[in-house]
Amino acid sequence: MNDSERYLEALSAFLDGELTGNDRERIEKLLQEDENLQNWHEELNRTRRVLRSTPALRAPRNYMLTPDMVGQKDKTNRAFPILRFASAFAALLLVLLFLGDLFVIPRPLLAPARSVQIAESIQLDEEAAVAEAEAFSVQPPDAPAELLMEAAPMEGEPAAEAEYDENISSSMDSSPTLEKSLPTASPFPVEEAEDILAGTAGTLVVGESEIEPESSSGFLEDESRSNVELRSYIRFAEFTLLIVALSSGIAAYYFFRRKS
Amino acid sequence: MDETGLIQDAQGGDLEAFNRLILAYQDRVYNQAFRVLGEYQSADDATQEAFISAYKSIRSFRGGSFRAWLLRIVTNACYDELRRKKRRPTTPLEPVDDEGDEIESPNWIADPGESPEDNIARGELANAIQACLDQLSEDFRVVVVLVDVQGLDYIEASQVIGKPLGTIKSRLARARSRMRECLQGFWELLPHSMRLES
Repeated sequence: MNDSERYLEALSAFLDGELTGNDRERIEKLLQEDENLQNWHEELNRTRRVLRSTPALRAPRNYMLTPDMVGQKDKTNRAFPILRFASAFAALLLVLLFLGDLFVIPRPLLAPARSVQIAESIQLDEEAAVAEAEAFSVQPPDAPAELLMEAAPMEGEPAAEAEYDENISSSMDSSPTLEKSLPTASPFPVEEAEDILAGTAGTLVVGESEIEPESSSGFLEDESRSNVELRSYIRFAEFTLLIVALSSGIAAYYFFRRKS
Repeated sequence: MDETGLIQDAQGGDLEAFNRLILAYQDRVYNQAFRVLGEYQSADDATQEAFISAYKSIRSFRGGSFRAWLLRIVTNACYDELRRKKRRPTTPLEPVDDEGDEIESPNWIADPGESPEDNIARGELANAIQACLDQLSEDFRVVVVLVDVQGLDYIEASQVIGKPLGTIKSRLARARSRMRECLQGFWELLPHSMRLES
């Protein structure tokens, strides 16, 4: 490096305030003494000012990066279709389940009402039967008049009187038998009402007698109970699907808005 | 703008935070690329490449001047672009006259970053400066752009190009001397206070 280059470098650094201590003092002293160096200094200073007056360009566009540019997988882009599908699928399942629940699966909630209706009918029939039986059993006081009228010609025959007493007593004895056999003759079988009421009452009281559930009603009882359990499961599934459909739908909408 | 916070978020993979840094620095980075490369399209490519590289390597940023760190990346992108051009020289698309001489390019005249009024007033001087910068060697051009156009001090310039302070001083002095010689050819474009004596 020759002297001129050394001076040039020193003057350039001096212009930028990058000289310190002795170097700075030395250049300042030389600038006062050497006119040629002063001219160099002035020329370099103007050049520096020209360069610093260079207009700053604005970027012609935005250079903002996208996930694709940097090889980054966009979580939004991945989440949106998944959530959209989840929401639609859950909504579809919910509709299918609701329709199936409405039209296919038996509704046990109707059974108690029907069983009450049947039980009431049975009770009415029972009362009618009892009333009829009572009416039949009350007849004897009237009957003797007829019987007496018919038997009047045979008045005085102790055998006929004894037969009459025996008939009355036998008819009175037979009334309980009639009472018990009435339910069997009713249009609504006891078993049916019993089956329907099974699980709530356990036994069905008809008149004075208590009828124990027969072994054939156990299957129906289990079926009714399983229906109730099934319905509770369905309710739970419907509620879960509703929550999933709504939450995933809202999340998908959020990601869609964020993406757009 | 909380630059430190945005840098930390970007280091954690937050692309949005890095994009906010891009918005803050893209003019400066584009300026560096254009002044070094002298072409709009190349400067555009180098700027985009620089920001992509910066995002991918932002975890390596250990503090200090983020501006200097970004300018180092764009300067390296410019060197890559210049090397690519040397390997595959391209025919300029600028129109030529009947004698094969290049007609003044629209790129030479147009400056998309300025309004028409500014372009008229300052375009000629800017173009003259750019023409002189293009005549410098790459190493000198980078240093003079960093210090005199971007306004970095010697230490920052040293960090950008990864050379010692003495190299910065030497290259800058020589670059200014050659710029002075070149700009004397455009003396009529210079404001009176800046006119250079031949």
